[in-house]
Amino acid sequence: MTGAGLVVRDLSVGYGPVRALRRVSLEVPEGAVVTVLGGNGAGKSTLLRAISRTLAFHGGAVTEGTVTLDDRRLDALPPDRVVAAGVCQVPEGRRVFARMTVADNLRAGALGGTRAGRSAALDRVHELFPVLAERANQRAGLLSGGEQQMLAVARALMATPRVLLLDEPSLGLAPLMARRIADTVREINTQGTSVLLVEQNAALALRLATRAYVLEVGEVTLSGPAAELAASDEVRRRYLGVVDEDAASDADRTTDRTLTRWKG
Amino acid sequence: MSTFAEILLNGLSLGSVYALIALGFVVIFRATEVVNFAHASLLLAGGYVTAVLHDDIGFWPALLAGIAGAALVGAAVEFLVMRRYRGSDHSVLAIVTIGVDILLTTELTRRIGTDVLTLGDPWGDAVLKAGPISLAHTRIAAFVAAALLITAFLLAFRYTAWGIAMRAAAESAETAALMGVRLGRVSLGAWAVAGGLAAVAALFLTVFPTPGLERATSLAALKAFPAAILGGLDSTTGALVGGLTVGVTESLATGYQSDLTFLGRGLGDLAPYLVMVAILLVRPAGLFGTKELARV
Repeated sequence: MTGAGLVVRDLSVGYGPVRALRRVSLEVPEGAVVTVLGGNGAGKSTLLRAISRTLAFHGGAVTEGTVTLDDRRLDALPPDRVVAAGVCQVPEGRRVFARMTVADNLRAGALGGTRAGRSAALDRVHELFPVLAERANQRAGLLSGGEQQMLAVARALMATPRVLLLDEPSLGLAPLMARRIADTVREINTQGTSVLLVEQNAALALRLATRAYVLEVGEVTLSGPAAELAASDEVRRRYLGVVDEDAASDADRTTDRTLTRWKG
Repeated sequence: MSTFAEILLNGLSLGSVYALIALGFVVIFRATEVVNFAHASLLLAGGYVTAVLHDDIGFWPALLAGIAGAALVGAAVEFLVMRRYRGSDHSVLAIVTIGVDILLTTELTRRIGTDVLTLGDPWGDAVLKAGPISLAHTRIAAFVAAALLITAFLLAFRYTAWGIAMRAAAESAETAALMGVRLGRVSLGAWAVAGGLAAVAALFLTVFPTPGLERATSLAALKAFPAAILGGLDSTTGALVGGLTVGVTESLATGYQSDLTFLGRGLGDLAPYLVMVAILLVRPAGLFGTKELARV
């Protein structure tokens, strides 16, 4: 059962002897926003690395399974061909090219494309993020965290991807800025780009996404429409921090041991 | 006074040649984070090709062949050797380049033997006299050629897609790969460009007043190391300033050696390293080396 969009099937990944993903399957249908939730070390970033073929930088490798975009295999391509095929990732922690200007960062994102495509992409990006046009000649390292995140997203959009992979875009941002990034993701999606969003900020991610997967210790433990997941007790308790009666009593028990100030 | 001006001008010319070598060094370092100890052997290879061919096909075609030859050798080293080690520690890669250097230099010195090969340049030993100052044509040609090449290179580095790809890869190879930069191609290009620049430098290291290409030429090329290091290994501007500093220092030390006899002979060869050590004591990252500049 394959089809349109990005399809990951039975994907296992190992870093040497360490299994990071175990038979993970998920789909990002054309035009959808799909989110993957999970705590630290659940394998979220590994999943994105496996899709964009940068596992080798971390000593990892895909041991089984496939990644396809519209039935075309991506899992044997070098990273630049994955980008050319239409899948581009915004890395975790923004990773803008700090020593280059904002304009050069955007050009770096468009290296694979044509000149005409580049100017169209640049117009689109400047429309989404007017601040980047103002700061075009400033060094990217001197932008604020939120502006760097905008630049990171904009840089990936310069490759005019059909599927945008976002790795924790709200990480380390003020709530207001996180909300602005969320609005932008929605905007990008309505312009026709599918989005695979990896987040720890589950509340934000579930509001954006139509479909969600929960990843725990390398396996998909829950999946379904985002609204349904957002309503489920388990997700509410573990990822949304909503405390209902059960959870409250759990919490009571665990806080018996009161914290004391360390007097060393 | 006129001797001082002469020494200074000669030093600048020599320095611009060192800058060419140092620039190639910096390009490889930025694209691949590898300190390339095989750089002197690339230079020797380029000079050798020119020296062997100039009798048969004329100087200019031979020079082009030398540049192409050194670029090819550089690319071959990247493709056949460095690529196999991709992902290894950078210090391992640096040591691999020492091995490559030993292999290439041994073969080239075997071929050169005890000969001193001329490169058949058109300038000969002509000297330009302007008032009290006399300057060899070769020195003027060296300065002009180096200035043109360096300008062209810096423009390309700033404005072309190749330059952007290289700078992106220099900052973060993984992120560059995520953006679709072909790292293999970037690194191949860097080695080829560095080889080409080294071949031009080989020409100007072996023309008048030096006798010609000989085994010791690769030792002269080694002076580009202090040039690149004192400028800051990852800075193109640093390579230029470093090259000129080393050239002028060497020229001054050699020129005034007779006043400094109490220091013994060979001060000219030593001075660049002294300057390097002095600068690194004050600025450990080199004059223009990057200290991390980022807001998080």
